[in-house]
Amino acid sequence: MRTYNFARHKPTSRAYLLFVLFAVIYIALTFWLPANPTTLTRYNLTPERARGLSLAVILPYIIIWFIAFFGYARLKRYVNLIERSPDGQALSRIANGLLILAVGLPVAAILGKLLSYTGNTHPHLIHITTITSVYIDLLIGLLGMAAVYRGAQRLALTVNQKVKTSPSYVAMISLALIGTSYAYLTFTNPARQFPTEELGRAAYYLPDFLLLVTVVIPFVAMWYMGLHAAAYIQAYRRGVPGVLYRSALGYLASGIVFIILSRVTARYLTSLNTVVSTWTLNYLLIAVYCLLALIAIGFILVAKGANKLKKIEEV
Amino acid sequence: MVQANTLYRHVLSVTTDYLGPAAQRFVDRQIDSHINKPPDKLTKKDLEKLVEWSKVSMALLTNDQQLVDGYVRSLLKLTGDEA
Repeated sequence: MRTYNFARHKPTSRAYLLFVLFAVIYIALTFWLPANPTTLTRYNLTPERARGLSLAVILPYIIIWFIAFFGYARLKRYVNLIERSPDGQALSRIANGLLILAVGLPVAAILGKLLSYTGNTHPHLIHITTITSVYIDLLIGLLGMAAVYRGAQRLALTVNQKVKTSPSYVAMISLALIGTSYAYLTFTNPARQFPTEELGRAAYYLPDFLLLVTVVIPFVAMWYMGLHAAAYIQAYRRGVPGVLYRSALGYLASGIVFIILSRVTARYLTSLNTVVSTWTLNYLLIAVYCLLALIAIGFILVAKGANKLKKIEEV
Repeated sequence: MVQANTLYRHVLSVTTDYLGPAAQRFVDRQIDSHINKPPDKLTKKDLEKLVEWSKVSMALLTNDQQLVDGYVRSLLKLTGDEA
């Protein structure tokens, strides 16, 4: 008689419970906290209409969070089947990294809401709440990406002990383009340290030196780890035998690339806050939906790849 | 049983071309579930039954019938090698 292995499924069950908890907290905060008066004025909204529009954002957010937790849970279920093998241990690290990134989505949203409310009701704290929000986003991204990177490196080493540790030319050029353009956008943002007339809030409230050392460089480092992780997974995919195995792995690799892309895009939008602030509500919603779609595609591909790999272990 | 070990290793080698790191787990599972003996006791007599079950399992993993047929052909060649 087949029995349900609770121990094996504990981490995935916990992940879904976490999702439910975060969703409930976020919905409660959205309807309990008053709307930002500046936002109401900028978009000519009544508090009631703002609440209604909140639904247009909450529901996609919660759906995306579910997809992210679902993607992690599927990968974890597969990893649990092969945890003793070298590839299983490496994939376990990647799964942990994806969990951090998945948890980071609701945590950043909830903390962002609380910090934003604190900043609006206590204007003398706005610089602290803004900086805290930036650093939390950075910390989550760094921890998650570092775990994915370490796992991907370990994975590549299982097929090739001499796997190249230096990134490919394409990765280096991509990183240089992304890094320099992000730095350019950040340091030419007139609202980076102090609020402007149009914007009641600065993007960072940090002097340029601290902005460079504690924000720009760490974010570029995070993207470096992400790009390198994607390169390692590709190297593993090229070196590992098994035509069916490689096909399934392709979905996982593509998913991780999409997840990395979504983090880059999100950070770009933040550095463009003076431009974004001039957008109409419709364009803003479209941008949010596009970002959420990127995240969703990433985690759906991870789930699909994990399902295919899991099937190989079950037939 | 050196011959059985060799046969098992050959089966593994063929399966690795299709399932990579999952090959050994796949083969061990097929032998354990359908032949009901330890992998190192695999004999030529067991091979035909193993090929039949492996074909069914492989067909569940892919719609590419050519791929499945190629796998089966490679395994059946082992019966000839062992003759």
